[in-house]
Amino acid sequence: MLALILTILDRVCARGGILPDTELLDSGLLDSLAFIRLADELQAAGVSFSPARMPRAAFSTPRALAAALEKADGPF
Amino acid sequence: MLNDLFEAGYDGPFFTCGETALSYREFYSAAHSLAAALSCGGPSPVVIRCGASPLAAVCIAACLLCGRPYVPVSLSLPPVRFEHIWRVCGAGLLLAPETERPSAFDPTLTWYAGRIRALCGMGAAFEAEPQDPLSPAAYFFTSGSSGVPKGVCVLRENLEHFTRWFTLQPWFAARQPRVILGQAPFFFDLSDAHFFPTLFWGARLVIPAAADFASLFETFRQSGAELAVWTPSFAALCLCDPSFDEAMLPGLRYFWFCGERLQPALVQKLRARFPHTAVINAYGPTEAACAVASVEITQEVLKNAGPSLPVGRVSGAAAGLSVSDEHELYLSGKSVCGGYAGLSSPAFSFKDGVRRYATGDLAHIAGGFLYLDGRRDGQFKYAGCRIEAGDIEQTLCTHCGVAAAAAVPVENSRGETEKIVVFAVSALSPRQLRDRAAAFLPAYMMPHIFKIVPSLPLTENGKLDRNTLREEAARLCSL
Repeated sequence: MLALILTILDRVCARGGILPDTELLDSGLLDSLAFIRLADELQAAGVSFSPARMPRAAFSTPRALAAALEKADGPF
Repeated sequence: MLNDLFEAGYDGPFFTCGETALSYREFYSAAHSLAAALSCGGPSPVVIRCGASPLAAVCIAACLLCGRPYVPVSLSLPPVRFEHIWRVCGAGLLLAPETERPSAFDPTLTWYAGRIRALCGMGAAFEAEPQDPLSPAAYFFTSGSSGVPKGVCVLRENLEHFTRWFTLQPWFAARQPRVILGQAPFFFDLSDAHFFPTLFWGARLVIPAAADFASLFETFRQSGAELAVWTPSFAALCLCDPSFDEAMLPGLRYFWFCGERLQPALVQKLRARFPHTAVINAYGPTEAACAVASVEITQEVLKNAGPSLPVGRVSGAAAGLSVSDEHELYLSGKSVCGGYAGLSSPAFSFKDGVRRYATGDLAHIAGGFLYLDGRRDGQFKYAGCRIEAGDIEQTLCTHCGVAAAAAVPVENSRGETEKIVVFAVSALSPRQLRDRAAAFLPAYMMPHIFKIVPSLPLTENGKLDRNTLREEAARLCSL
């Protein structure tokens, strides 16, 4: 899951070199457009998720997001 | 007519934003009381630094009541841009309804939230005098190609005309919306489309204050909204969550979109989740007070549309809309603003005594529908915000130690800007350049990629070769 998220983020955030613990929100890396593309690509990869059921902190780093999605989802 | 909107006419709830709620009675009283205080300060424009709060709405109403133009700016505006705006419009006062404490860059004449609330609560009477409809109502500052923000001078007549046009759109004839769900902060002219119609109809305005999906959707559920006035980007963001559907907003009759290109795919998604809600696509530049054309995207319109949806219906010449032989869209009449603050522009002219504006938008009319076909200059949109490439380039050259720069939008297959790439000739590293730029550019204008290059490519004529750069930028983003 973490690898998938890093691959997608590298594409949607355009600024390369995103690491598992790179801060995504306050840095502006995951802005609203990047978020929409992230959601689209996760869905395309078969990962369904509901941001409304996740705390804001779940999107703060790729590692936190992977942990939250694994907890919510299961198959990975 | 404009000031009639602020004279006691309605009762009941007016504006809810997060925990703050304001009734019509409170709003009228606060606006008059604040207007009495503002009118003592001469006619100079009033900068209002705000988001979307009810107290900011009171500040705007007070300015309009006493005839002082208001200048809405964002809370995160970089100081150098703020200073420019302050100087260019000759402002005499800063109202900071969402700021409790002074900060280092604020002008001496600043009223913070506490003082504004106190003045609003004095219950002072104010008798509004008639204002010239051709006098400035507001200055909306937008990205300018010379590296400084450009102040669009919105006349009182523009706002009156817009409010009349908006409320007379055919879909609202059967029943006026009673609850409007807005989204845009007041420094974004899309806010005209939720603020003034709400006051005109005596409706209730709901603006979400939320930073996360859960509380955003809770606001939606409790709103009872019948009309959503949004950017397409905001709808796309909401659609990321599967629970965003008709059950969350059961009374919603209309989505009214403006501010950026509406994609057929987004409309299809919305139709699936909101089968009983009409989708309306609207168009207008800030220079014509928010919007001048709109069209309902019915199933039939969607079926017959190509890759781009119409932005309006055109019926006869009365609409003040025409397309030149060079395919540029011209607007004329009462919607056209009074030009730019302290700047003359060839885009504005008079024809037979009527104001005319060359929008820079390429367009065509087919089957009674108006379609947009891009820009004739370097302007582009990112997440609904309008950006001039020259603004980024000049700012980097003036403030950030860059000898030459080119800002290039990278579009996806749907024609939306996804990334902004900057090619810069500079001794700085990309990281140093980014850090410097962050102090001078508004967040929405921040490039995603900085590429340091030894020189910028030129065409045979010695002009900047933007086509080569566009290809290079697309390669960098590998879209």
